[in-house]
Amino acid sequence: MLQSVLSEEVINCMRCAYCSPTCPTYISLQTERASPRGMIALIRALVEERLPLSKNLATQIYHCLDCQLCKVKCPAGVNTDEIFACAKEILAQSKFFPSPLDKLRTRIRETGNIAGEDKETRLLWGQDYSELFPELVRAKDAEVLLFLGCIASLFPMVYALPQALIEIMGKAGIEFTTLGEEEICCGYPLLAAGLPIDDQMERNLAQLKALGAKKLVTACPSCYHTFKENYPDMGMEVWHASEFLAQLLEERSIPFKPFPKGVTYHDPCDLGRKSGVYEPPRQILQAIPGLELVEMEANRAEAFCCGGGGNLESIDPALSAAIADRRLAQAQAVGAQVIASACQQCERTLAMAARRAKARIKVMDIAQLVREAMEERWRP
Amino acid sequence: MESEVLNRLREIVGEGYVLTSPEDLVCYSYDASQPTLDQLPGAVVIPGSVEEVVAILRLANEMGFKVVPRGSGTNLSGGTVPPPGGVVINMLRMDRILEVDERNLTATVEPGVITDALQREVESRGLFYPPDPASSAICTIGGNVAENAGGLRGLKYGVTKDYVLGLEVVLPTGEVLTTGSKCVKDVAGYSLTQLFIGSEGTLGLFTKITLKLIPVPDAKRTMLALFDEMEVASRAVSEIIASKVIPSTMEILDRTTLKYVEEYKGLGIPSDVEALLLLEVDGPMEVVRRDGERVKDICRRVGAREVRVAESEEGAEKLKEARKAALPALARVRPTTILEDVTVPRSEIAPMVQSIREIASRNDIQIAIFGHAGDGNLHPTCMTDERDEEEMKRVEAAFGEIFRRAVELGGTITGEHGVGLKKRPFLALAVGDEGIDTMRRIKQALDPNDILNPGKIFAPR
Repeated sequence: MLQSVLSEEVINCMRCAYCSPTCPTYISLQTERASPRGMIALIRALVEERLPLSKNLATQIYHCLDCQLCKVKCPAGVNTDEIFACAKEILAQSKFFPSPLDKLRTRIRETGNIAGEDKETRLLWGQDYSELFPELVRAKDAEVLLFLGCIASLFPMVYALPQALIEIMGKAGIEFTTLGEEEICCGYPLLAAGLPIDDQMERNLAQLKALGAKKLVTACPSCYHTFKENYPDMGMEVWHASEFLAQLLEERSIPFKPFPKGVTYHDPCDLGRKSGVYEPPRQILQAIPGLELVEMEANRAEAFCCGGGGNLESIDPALSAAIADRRLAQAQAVGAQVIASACQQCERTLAMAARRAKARIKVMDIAQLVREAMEERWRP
Repeated sequence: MESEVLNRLREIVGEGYVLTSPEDLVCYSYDASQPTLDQLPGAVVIPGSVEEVVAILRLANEMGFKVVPRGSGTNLSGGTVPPPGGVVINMLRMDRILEVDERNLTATVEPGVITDALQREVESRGLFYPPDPASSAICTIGGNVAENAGGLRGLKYGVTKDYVLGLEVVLPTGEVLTTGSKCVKDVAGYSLTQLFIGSEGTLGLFTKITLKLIPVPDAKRTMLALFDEMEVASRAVSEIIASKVIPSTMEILDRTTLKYVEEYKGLGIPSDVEALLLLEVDGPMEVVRRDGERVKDICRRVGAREVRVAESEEGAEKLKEARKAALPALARVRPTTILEDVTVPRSEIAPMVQSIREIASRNDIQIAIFGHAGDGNLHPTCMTDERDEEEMKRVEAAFGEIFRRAVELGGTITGEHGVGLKKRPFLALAVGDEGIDTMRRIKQALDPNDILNPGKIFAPR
């Protein structure tokens, strides 16, 4: 099955290499096997049994960020994403499956999250909010069920995102709740590794459906994309937080104070290119008085990945960092004082890049920015 | 590959710059021509200096292995497919822009510089390097010189050969030769610079290239004209040139290309349009205004169904959409896309298009045509499936006929893609046996052991 999908698709590559100069991995490594064209050649050789499965091959395929810029840029319309996904499925069943990903699989299976933390720690970010929001955990029939994702829940560096989101929602009078410590990984990192996600799907669906919320709002673009693309009908609307906030600002008047800074918006791959959500985050930024939105040269469908895509950070953290440095430089080139994004993974990688470069540039989530600009702040 | 060769190569360039894994060898077994030409190399070596290139070529002569220089591997004629088991010399590490000399209007670069990168650098100084092959975002200047690359601006601005002033070349036997200078006028002896341009990696490896630059034109105007008949479009091209206007761009798309562009992009081009011309004039503002009016009037007078003139930068981008979509639209039709390249005198465009259509239909294959009408360089593009052997035979036969017809009309078998392996069987059509023999003698004189990209352009003796 995989083989036939592959052989039908790889043949469409005309090897023009127009993908290569757009690929963040190729740009950093400058070797043909790191380019999408080279990876397709390797996969074609595998399918045609000219090349065996090997550790080298596996390493190369998992260097792909799954950012899908090559797919956008391909003149022949090759579904590069499908080719790489099929190749990963084959590799995941082989002895060459990279050990960092094997460990990730075990962590997710055992703890339900990518960090391998106890599930009780999943709500640490919200411990100061329990009095203010008694409905924070698994309240029934709320209007909104907030799905926070592993990174926002478990990495203190980005706790500010869920905190900002619930403060804004609270201020706007939205009834919301979360799955609390029962939230588990949506399965995205497993999919990106070529592994099945039936277990994650089943457990999340049972939890989500049980609460009877009308809308599922995800803080994480990867969760959002996975719910929309890979889950069966969930019986509720799926929104990304940026879409929800944009709608909220349109419907209710939230008074803002000026935020006189040059802000650039970094499109997360899973939200922008892969899900087509480009404008809502920009609408939010433009609603803030004084804020000047400056676009990077590579924006929207052509945005350059932050380096945190796919599972590259687990496979090759140095390369992931080098790619983040490049994206940071693109933001600096347009003189931005703030990089806003709508993805906690992008925000983590870009914030670390800014720290490495000792750059005077702040990385913020759109929700954080909205909270900061709100006239009345609502803090516990 | 023999371990002694590999060890010696590692001594020359360092451990990390010799690639031998099966994965790397697969990735350097091709260029952008068809997969049937692919050959696995024995190793890939990535030199960082002229001295290393010299040492690699000396070693090749000493130990008798074949080599092929490679930039980004985007050529369409099989020119960078390695000799079986040979060594690929990957030039991408030598990628520095060494100098932009604003007083002499020259740039000196290493061969691995990406064409777009050079263009951006010189444009930031108000200068212009006109050759613009479609792959400029990834192809290298070294590759452009080796293939004498063209592009959309050939009619007005010429091609790569018109911009190369001088070269540093490592000869196949390892000597370092410097040709030309920064001078526009330089007739000291044979024009060796021109000998190496378009030599497709068979006569030497470039390690330094000095290019001529010109000032960026002040203004440009973009126009699009639709025609009910190919002959009328062709007449428009001839009359525009006869009126002493040389447009910087004059691109043509035929009805088959337009049909697929319309299916792909839905730009609203009526289905009974036979030809589309995309025209651009550039230069000082007053000249652009005058030439723009002239081009528009001629198109209308000869009988264009519709002429659109862009009033803004965005408007110009809109008019360019169909041309930009041509290859992507065609490449989506069938699994295999063969982008060919023939040139005829521009007065023969209509008969050539007519012949290509007849040949395609007689051989029962699908060919769409687009190209550079101003310089008569057409890209008949075949949409096929390389897995269908019987169809591939018909494709091959049809292209043979097309090349013959181009030569009959006073044209040639390739305008900008080169001969490489793909057009080797047809070279005599264009240059005659004497031409091939002369080239062989030059090759023999410079590369007595036939180590450098053997078998490209013409078969070894």
